[in-house]
Amino acid sequence: MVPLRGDITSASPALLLVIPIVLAGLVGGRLAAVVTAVGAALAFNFAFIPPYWTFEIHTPDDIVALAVFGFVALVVGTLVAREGERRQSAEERATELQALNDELGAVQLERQRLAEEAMRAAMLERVDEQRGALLRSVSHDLRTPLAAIRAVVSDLLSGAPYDDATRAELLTLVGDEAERRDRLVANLLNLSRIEARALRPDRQEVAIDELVADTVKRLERLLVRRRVQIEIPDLPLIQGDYTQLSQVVSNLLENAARHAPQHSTIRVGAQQRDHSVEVWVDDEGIGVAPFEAQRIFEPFRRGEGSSSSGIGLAIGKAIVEAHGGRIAAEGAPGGGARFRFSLPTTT
Amino acid sequence: MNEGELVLVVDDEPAIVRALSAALKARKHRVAVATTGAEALAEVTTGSPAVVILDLGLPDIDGIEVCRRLRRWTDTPIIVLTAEGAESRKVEALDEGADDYVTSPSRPRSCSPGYVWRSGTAAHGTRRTRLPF
Repeated sequence: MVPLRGDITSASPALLLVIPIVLAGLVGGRLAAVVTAVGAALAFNFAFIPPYWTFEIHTPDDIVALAVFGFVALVVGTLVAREGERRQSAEERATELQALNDELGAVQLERQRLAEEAMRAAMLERVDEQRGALLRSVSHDLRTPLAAIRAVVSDLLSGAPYDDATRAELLTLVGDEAERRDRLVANLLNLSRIEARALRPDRQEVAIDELVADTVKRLERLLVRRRVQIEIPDLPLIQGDYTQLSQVVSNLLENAARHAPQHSTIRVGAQQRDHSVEVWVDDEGIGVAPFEAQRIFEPFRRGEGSSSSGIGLAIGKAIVEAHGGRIAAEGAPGGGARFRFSLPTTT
Repeated sequence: MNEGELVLVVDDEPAIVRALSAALKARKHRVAVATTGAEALAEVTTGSPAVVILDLGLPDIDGIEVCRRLRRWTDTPIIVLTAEGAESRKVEALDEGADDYVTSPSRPRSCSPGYVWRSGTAAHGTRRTRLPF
């Protein structure tokens, strides 16, 4: 142990000299702390070691006290400075991390923007593909009836030896195919009106039961191998475009005929619901999967292996919505599919 | 081709099937119809038709593939129906063993049911010469 000076109380305020060392270490770093420690040791000698107010030292005790003070001052200064440096470097690292983080955020944003752009491009590509598919299927659909008509006509013209029944069957086929082409052209015209946002119902009073009966009669040939049951009670008249609404029913019937097995029953019904009239067409076909129920009304969507152009249901939806109504697809009560649409009775 | 022999019409287009069926029945042939490639393959196995009239654009299996599969085990004459301009498809089908082709709809004469019937006769002849007896 270092023997302490007898007059210890007069040296205690010297501890105050530690404060500037700590401050110097915190603010100025290691060099400042060392310089301040040396200064504090000198000040200690000057103020607290007799003879006071000189730098002289007379006793070995005082030399030891000064040495101990100087050592402690240096250690404290260095430790504080080191801690300060450590804190500073931590702060710098934090700033660097923050900067990196910001950069990462920017990269993330950029990536998100690119992803959105890619998605838009993919969507455009899909629309393009759909248009291509529509063109292909429409030109196929337009040509097939003509091919059949031309084949039959040229066969008849070449004087093939047909009996009356065959001749009648072939001529009926020509009529049917001409009608099929007519329906497709009507759908295409409506499609172009929808695209030009020019589908405006020419409203008049329409009796749903008459409209359904007329449409079924018009499609008689298409529905020849199916039974059609119509169950429509007395209903209020609705305000609507007769031609357009007939097209909706026609498209639903054509869709049903396409998916219903031969000799099955297609049921057409209607009923009043609050302020609307609901019409439905049920078939006994493969039905509609729940996930398909919405998408089935998107343009150009066609069933697996279907030979339709995939615009009939989309046109039906557009027409019904132009009348302020709604259309939906679901499973029919007895299996198969039910397509139903509702039209407001008061507009 | 003799009366009463079975002709298999393979086409997914109802109008074409109707036209061909009427024309063939008027000529006293029996007609079987398949609307997909799978149905066609099954029908040839079970019905043993005298001639197959095969549309190349089927919803499930490509018509040329149907031709190839049939030719693995049978010499039944095959007449393919192709769209206009599809020259390479015709050649491909003939390479795969088809005996004749009919084009629709650019040449109405060659697409007529009567023409198919005449082709069928020719194809039947091809078959006869090919068989060893």
